[in-house]
Amino acid sequence: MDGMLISIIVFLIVYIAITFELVNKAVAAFSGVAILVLLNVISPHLPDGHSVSSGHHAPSAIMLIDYETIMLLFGMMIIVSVLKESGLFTVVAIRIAELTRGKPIKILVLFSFVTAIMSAFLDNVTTVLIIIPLIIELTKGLGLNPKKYVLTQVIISNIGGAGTLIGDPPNVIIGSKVGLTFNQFLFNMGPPVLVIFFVVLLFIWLMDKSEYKPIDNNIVKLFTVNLLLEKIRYDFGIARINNSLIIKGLVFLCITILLFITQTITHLPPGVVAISMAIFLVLYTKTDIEKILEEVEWTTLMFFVGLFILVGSLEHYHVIKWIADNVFSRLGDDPYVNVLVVQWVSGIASGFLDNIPFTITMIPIIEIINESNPALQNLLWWALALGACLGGNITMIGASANIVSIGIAKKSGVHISFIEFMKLGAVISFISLLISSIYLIIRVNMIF
Amino acid sequence: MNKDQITIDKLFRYLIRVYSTSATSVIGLDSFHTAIKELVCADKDLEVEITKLSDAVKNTQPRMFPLDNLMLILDKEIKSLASENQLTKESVAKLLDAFKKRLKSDVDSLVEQGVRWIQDGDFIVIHSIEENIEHLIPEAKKRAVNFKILVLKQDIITTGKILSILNENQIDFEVIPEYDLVHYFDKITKLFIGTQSLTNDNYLICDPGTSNIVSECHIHEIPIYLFLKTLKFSHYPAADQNIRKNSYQDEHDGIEYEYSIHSNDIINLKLISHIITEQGELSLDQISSIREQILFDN
Repeated sequence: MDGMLISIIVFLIVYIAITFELVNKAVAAFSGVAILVLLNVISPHLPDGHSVSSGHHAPSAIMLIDYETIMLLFGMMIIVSVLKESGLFTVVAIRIAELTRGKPIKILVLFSFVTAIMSAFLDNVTTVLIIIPLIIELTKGLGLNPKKYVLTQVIISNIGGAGTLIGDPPNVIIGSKVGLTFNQFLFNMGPPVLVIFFVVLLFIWLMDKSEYKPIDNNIVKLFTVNLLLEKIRYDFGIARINNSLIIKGLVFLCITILLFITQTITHLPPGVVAISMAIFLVLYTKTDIEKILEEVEWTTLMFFVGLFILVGSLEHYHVIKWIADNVFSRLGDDPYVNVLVVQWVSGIASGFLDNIPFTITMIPIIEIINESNPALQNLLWWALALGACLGGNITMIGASANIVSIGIAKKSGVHISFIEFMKLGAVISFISLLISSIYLIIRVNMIF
Repeated sequence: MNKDQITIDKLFRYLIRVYSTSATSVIGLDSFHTAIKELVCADKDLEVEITKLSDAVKNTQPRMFPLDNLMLILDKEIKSLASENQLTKESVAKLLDAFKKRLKSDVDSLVEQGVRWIQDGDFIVIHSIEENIEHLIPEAKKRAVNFKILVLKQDIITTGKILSILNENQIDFEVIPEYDLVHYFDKITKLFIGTQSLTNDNYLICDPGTSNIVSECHIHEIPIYLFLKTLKFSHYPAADQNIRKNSYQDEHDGIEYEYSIHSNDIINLKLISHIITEQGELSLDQISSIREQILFDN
């Protein structure tokens, strides 16, 4: 059996194992890597001259890893861990709960704003880990239906995350592998994401106006809100708040974002910025590194490493080129068709498959399409990013934040079924992808 | 029971676990104040709305004292204001502020009265969060009395709160499980307890677990001191204190069973050696006349 066939079979088995959650996704990816190494399809050694491989030899597994992406994720995870340790998220969450004063419409809008902003600059999973328990406590305590609020926040976290380079794993991967800057993401993804955010919020409100009616005329509910806020203050306030660490953490986060924004001037890759700032933050604040490293999502990082190797192997054995030549090249040269197909295929696929391996697989395919149609500039990347991030809302397995949120909700006695998620998620994904399509068509029009 | 009442009950039950009943009453009064401030209703409906909320507070399971008595006083005052056409949000706010002041002054007086009962060399057993813990014991420490506290461990929330108060005030303490008390009867000198209310048939409504400890101390002739404000003298009998029985299905090693727990213990007042209020030490005979006076003292 040749390397190409083994790579395809192993990749498909790993993909199925990940999609149906047969085993832990990092274990699945690394098992695949182990098989490829054992069968000598890829090599565990560094090649001479540090190229991926020489001649017909097996590619070096180590050289297939995209270290830029791993460094960016690792660095941001450390910064987030320090901020979490400082109690910043607790302070923000309690303050938002107080600002809503228990009013359903304010809970919907204010929490959505916070979720979107947090998801844009931190990772979505951290965001939902902070927001979901609080919103369940608040809405359950007020006798509201927590399901609607949980679903809204999960969906908004995926939308908010789509807006920046560091907001969602597909963006991190695209940005790092393709070399797109933070500003390019912000200026190209920001506008459609902003429109989608407001349209989705309006849609959710219109769908169930009665749920968000005011409570100002119900004295018992108003009384309950105040008792509930006291309980929330106690529950969430037990966490240690370290004001000095909050300030230092925020300063370092701002510097990190500033360095992302000024990337075109400094020429510092985001991965280098993230990991340097993370380690300086730990050094400056004298935070217990062992405690911080415990918070790092090693499984996610391992998963990324494994997938990079698996997809790198497919690329080395020309499987990706074959897909690009035989599937996407049949689309012809029509820029509208190219962009829209990439966006909708990415969107729908990301709803049912994990969007991380999907994005990693699509990058080399899009690189090939881009080579044959360079006039499209970066539009195919934006189409991929919009599709992969927004499509994650279709089903509860579409994005990590969905799975984590549904798990937290279940623990709090709020059961959200696959169908319940899909009923709202699929409609919102359709609206989001439609708006993205309009945006992409306008962008294509501006070029041609 | 409607959904809002169930929510209020749950919240009150939670808050009195982590704060004292007095602190929870202050939270209740503040919440009442804010609710009235934010309420959108016609002036003519204000009395109905306030009564609705007052009833909800009075119907909690278990009854919340001193808040229950304050609500009875409030009902009386609201009726009087309404009959004089002077019922406004501002007038209600003034009443609620007066209640808060009264609570504060009662606590101060109770601390002043109670601190006399802590002497050098005392080894005092405490069990739950009440005024005696939150105010009395730290005050004795401030006055340089040399004593030690034996904390009977309950759930982590309640015990955690007690420990943080003792630690903050640098009070010498030892923690043991409730069931270990038997090994300390030759060392302890007093048991201090608080209560959620003293019923009109002379029973104390206390935190779960208090009854066993009081019984044990009574058998071993350890003096039992009850600290409470007179606003906790209830106008209802023990059977009408809305003590809640919570049952749910549990499972151990495949054996399914119904697990039940009551929100409070009931303790006969006869087991108490000393009843200390903001008015000083009271005898059993004085209680009923003071109870009758409560609603007219504001």
